[in-house]
Amino acid sequence: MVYGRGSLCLILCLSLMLVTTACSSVSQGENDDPLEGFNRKANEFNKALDKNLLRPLAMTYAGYVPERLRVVISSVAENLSTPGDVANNLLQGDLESGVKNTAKFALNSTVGVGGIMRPSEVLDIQAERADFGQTLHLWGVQEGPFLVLPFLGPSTGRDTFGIFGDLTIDPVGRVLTAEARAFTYGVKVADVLGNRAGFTEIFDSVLYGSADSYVQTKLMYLQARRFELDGPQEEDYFDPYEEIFE
Amino acid sequence: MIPMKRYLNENTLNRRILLSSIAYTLIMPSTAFAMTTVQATDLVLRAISEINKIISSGKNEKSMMRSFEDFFDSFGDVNTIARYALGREGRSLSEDNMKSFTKAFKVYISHKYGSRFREFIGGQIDIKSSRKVKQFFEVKARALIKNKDPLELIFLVSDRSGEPLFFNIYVEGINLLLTERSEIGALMDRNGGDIQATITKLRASL
Repeated sequence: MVYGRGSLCLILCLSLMLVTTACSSVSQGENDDPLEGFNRKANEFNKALDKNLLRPLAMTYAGYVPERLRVVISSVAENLSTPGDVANNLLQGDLESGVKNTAKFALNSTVGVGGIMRPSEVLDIQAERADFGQTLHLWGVQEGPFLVLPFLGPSTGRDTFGIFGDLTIDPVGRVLTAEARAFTYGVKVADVLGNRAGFTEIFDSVLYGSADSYVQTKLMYLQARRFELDGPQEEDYFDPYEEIFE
Repeated sequence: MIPMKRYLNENTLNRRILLSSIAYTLIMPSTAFAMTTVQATDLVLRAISEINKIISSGKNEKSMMRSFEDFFDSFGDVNTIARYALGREGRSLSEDNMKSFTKAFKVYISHKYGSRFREFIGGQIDIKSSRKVKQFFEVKARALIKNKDPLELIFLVSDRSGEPLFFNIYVEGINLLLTERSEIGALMDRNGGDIQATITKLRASL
């Protein structure tokens, strides 16, 4: 079962790699959004999914589940993703973060009862989160084209590999029984609903309040992701006065 | 770069504003046309203090949004932000149209970003650093919000308008100028390039 899933991901990864490599050679030209046609359709699909399913579910969830419990669920979900952080820390050669994340996971899983509490915060263990998209970035893989994934939302060629890469290397999925895995999926779904409800205003304003939700989604995703990967880039600062007073 | 970590304790803040105002007055004659890092930091400190004051005021939604309009007027270079958001389309506009667009735009961004600022309630914003970059100043801050990941904020400040004002804000890398230029551009396209229709839509979007 585990091997089955792993190889499926690998095949998907490889085929995606072919698609995005083909696309990235296109993106060298003037068009910075070679997949716009597909992306817009996927964006409309995701919007319909949000409107009819995700948003109403999230609102119901937030209505029934008190905020304190939602915080606990999100904390358990974060704990479950920490072994994945460690795997990526190590792939990135960041031993210090790897050790910190391991300590954080060990502590929160035991003393913190499966991540319900976060004793690591009391000890001020601040560890860097890491994902496979980021690992690929550090390995020198180019961003690739902007991509909207049905069900999953905005991404890039590189980050799409990242998602499948993370599924493949995730240590948690390998050691759990089927029941335990079902539980972790439940927690993750609840966490997604909690996030949708917790950021209602931002989601709603981008998806339903903007003149072109696709362009806004693309712009915001790319800016936020590049910032997450590289931090603020001085050369990206632009001077509106130059344009206006020219 | 001047590394700084200042908690927004009212006393420290007032003292800081007082001190920098004195410093400002003292050096003013010799540097009338050269803005300093201190002035940029000072502007952002006062802006953050004003945001905190508005969100913790307990006012109703409507008067809170009015306060955010005043906030953008006092601390932001609204004329430049509005003109940049309009892009090329703005160049051919009559002065009257530009004025009424700027007014509608100010109300629109005040509501939009005002409701984002409200998420900072109960949190704390620290200034991390400030320095001169190109022809302007970069002031970095961090918002610590309960039960959420901290937010990295960057204010870009310039005195090209005649006084130190911010002209762009980055929240976790997402910047206001670029986001609004794309949004206003899309709105103009939708209305066939008609500025009056765009202004009406902008007002209706609130």
